[in-house]
Amino acid sequence: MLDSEALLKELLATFEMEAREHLGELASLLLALERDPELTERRRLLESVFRRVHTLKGAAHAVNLPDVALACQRLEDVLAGLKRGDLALGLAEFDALHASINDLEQRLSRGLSAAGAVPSPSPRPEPPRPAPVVPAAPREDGEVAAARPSRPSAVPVAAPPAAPPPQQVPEPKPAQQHHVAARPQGDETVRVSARLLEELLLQSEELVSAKQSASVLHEELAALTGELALRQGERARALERARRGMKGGAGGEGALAALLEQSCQAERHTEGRLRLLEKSADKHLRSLQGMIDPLLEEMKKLQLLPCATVCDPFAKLVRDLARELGKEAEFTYQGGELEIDRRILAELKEPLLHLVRNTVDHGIESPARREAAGKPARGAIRIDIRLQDANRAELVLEDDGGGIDVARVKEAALRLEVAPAELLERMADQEALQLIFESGLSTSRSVGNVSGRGIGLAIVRDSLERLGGHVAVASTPGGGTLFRLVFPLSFARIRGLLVQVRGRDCVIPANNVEVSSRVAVADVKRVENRDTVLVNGEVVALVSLARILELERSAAAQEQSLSFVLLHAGEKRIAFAVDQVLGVQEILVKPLGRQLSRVRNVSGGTVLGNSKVVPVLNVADLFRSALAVEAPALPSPSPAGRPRPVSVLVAEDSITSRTLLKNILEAAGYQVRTAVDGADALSQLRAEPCDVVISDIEMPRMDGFQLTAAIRADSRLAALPVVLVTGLESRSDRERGIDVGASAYLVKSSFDQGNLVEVIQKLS
Amino acid sequence: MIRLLVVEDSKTVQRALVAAFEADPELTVVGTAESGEEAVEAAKTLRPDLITMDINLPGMDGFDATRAIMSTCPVPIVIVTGRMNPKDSATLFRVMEAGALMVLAKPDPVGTPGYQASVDNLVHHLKLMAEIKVVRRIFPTGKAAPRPARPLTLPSAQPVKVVAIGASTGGPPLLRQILAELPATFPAAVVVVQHMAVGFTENFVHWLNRTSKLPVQLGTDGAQVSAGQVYVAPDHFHMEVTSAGRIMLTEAPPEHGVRPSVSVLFRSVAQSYGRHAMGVLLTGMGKDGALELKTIRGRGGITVAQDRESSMVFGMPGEAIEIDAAQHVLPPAAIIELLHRVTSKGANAATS
Repeated sequence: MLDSEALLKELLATFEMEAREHLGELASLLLALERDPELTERRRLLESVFRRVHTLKGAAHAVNLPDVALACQRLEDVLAGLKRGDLALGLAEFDALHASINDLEQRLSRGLSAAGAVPSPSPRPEPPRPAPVVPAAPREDGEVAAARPSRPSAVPVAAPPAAPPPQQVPEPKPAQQHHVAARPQGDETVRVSARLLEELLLQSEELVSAKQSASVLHEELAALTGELALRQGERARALERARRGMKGGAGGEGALAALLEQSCQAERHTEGRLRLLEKSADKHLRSLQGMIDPLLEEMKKLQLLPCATVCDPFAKLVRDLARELGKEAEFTYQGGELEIDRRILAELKEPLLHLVRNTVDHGIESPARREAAGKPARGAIRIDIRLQDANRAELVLEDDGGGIDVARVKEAALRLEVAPAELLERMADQEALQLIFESGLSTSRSVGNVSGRGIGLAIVRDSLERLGGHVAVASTPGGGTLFRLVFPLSFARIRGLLVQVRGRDCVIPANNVEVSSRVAVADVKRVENRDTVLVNGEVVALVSLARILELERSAAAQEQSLSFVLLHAGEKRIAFAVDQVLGVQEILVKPLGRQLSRVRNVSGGTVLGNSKVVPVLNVADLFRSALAVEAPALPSPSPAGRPRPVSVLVAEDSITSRTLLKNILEAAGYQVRTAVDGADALSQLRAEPCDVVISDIEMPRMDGFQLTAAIRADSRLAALPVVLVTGLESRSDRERGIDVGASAYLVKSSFDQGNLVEVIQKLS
Repeated sequence: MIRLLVVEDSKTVQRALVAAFEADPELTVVGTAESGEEAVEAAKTLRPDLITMDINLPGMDGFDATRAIMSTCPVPIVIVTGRMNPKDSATLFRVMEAGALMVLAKPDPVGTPGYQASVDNLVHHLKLMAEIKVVRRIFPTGKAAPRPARPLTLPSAQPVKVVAIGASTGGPPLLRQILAELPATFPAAVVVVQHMAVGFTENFVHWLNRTSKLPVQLGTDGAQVSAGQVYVAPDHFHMEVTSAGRIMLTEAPPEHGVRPSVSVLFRSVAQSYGRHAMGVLLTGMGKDGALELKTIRGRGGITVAQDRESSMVFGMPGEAIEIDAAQHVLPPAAIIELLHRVTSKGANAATS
């Protein structure tokens, strides 16, 4: 059993949804009524209006919103009167009824926010709505009274605000979801809050990372198996030798050979098991894919809403607005059943609103002018939505109004210096028309409070482009205007952290961001030749993002503290220093395009709210780059970024050691070539030099000492650093190495990756 | 455990009702419906013990739904609705004609001081109504009320000056039928107590007036009772008729748990009019008025109880018959016939 507070809260949430649905339906019912249907249909509509108002009243009463209930009651009384009497409703009465609905809507918003249960349904602020239509009754008194003297005030309009609005209450007026469950046909529907859906989508998107790590695991297993397989030849040779040793040798040697054979067999066994593991990892990956991909697909479908949810409210808007401007206009649409991602619809709402308002304001002429031009007094505004292809939809907004005067567009463009005069002169009309999307350009002679400031259409174009779509306009003078909007059906949206580096904006996918913070310069510690910061008690490498991106270092004043973002890619974590962190944004990532198949550190681009094109960074690349250049201290002036990565030649006859070295060095960001022995290395070096040579000592044909000597003897290669890596640690070898001119001498048993990389860094 | 079906088109109200009902250990909501069609379907499949029905529903409204349910799989149906404009009473009582047992008001808003009491009241009545055995109703297409062939013999020739009618569950359609058949020149006053949820009596009067040839009004304290007028006891008051022929409204404690009560009315009528009184006890739950009907009989008045077959609930009339309070046990058509006869006879007697 619920306590009454919890129950009331739940009821209020239910009520809000219900009320929005009723209000939306009421508006369209009234519009249908106004189309002057035949008597039985009118009765039916009126009955529906009455029933909705009555139901809303009951619901408002149940959640103790007496103000709303009272307004409903008044409206209900009026409607009951209309229902009982068989009267003709005039324009003025309809104005009053619509005004009552508007009034009801405001009371509702006030009531709900007062009751503290307004989970603001639309995050975007609604553009200012027209002031509620002033009750028409007194204005057209003469006419109405003359027409129906017996019922002078049959429609007594929106009740005067019972109490002045306590404060400027924001008006959350979305009616966004009022269609989710309002369609009785088809499957049973369930009302779910959009927030919950959003969360579900996010959570299921996180499953992708599980898929990714499974894929990484599989790759590693495959690589490991591959390495073992490559050793097969080596193993075979070793076995053969061991067998030979067993035959000939005796005692210790024989035992050693037997041991060797055993270990070779064990390795083969291991390889087999690894192969099995790899196979099962592959299977695992596939089954994960099989589950996650369809799940995500279905989750995306959950985000779909019929376009009608966006179009429905326009009918009332057009009507109210036209009446306010002394015009008559009717809105119809087709294709409302087409389902589109909710978030796209939300983005479309505002541009469409601008376009529709613009059309009513500028497109549709006054009834007198329309009649003079031989058109029906009531203007028609029409939206047609259809699929363009599998990924895009097209929305056409058409009116039968006065059209756009191209000459005036050009005139305005010239005035605003949007384009040079001679260009405008030559510009085709169709092309010139598109200039109306330029910011600040308006052909309207007066700036009304509805539109005419010349900003609206620029917003429309920006919004569409932000969505990855576009908008175009066509017009016939005197015949009307047609806007064509093309936009994608689904959304490749991610959340991104906007940061500034050397005065440039870039976006880091928020998925990879662990934390962003500031640190005092004094707290940046240099550990093992790297800058580090302490984040939550853990030491993390700190790398300058500007250096990674190879941006010029500006002579910036030394600041006391610096901003950084801690990123993670897989298990690795690195802090990247940035100029400043600007915040998190939802962005639409666009691919780089065919011209640029791959750009290091950049995965794509996005258009920000301010129309700026900004790169989206590829975190995996950032890590690769960071590991390659991590050494130089951050605050100390460093030589300008390296033009290219350091190249290393590895000479090693054992395939295992060769692969190991190659992997270590590549992981550290070096460009690695390999040679199978000293002779191979020398010929490679003569063909193409490198920055550092790493060589084994014992190799066929030409060993490490011989190679080093040959390098030192070659005038072009003499200065090349050579690192000798050997399994033998003997002083004589070391001395011999120094003698022939090796730059460093590492013993395999003692070397670790860090050691090797450090040596190379010192030498290169 | 009483299994309820809640029919209500407002999701909010529906949720509030379900919460209120589920809070009672003896009630359980087995289903909800938002339209008349859904309600009929759910009544068939869920077989609830009781249905709470809203009147305004999309598509098939409360009236059509009630009619459909009562003619196929009869279930006690109670109308639960908000306050209505008296002018719109027609829809409300039409549903009662279709077989709904009574009208009850929706509870007060959650969180308001009156909430618990209003819920308790609603639940109390629902439990009572759930016990009623309802029968399948066949709705005649024509409006031919069969009259009894054989005229009744009348035991007394005194002119009846006041007809007191008491009714409870199932009463409104009967009262409407009776009043509609009385002539505008009806020579006696009619005083009525109909048990009704608070707030709907005014609607009831309004609805009666639509078909009654006699003017129907709420009884007001001190009003002179005159022939050819119908007085209905208002909410919250007992209604009595004094020997001076005036209406007296009192706030004496409820009798049989109700106020207005039939007992109080019948007692006063017996007291004030004696042999010129007539008492009619119609369908209803409980015993209200039964003993006092006997008082009327004892003081020489004419007494009638509705018969078992036509009574929706044979409680009050059954009790009256049991204690031998009723001279006549009749179906509605015969009651109307009798009213005609005793008054015309009475009128004759008065003039002769």
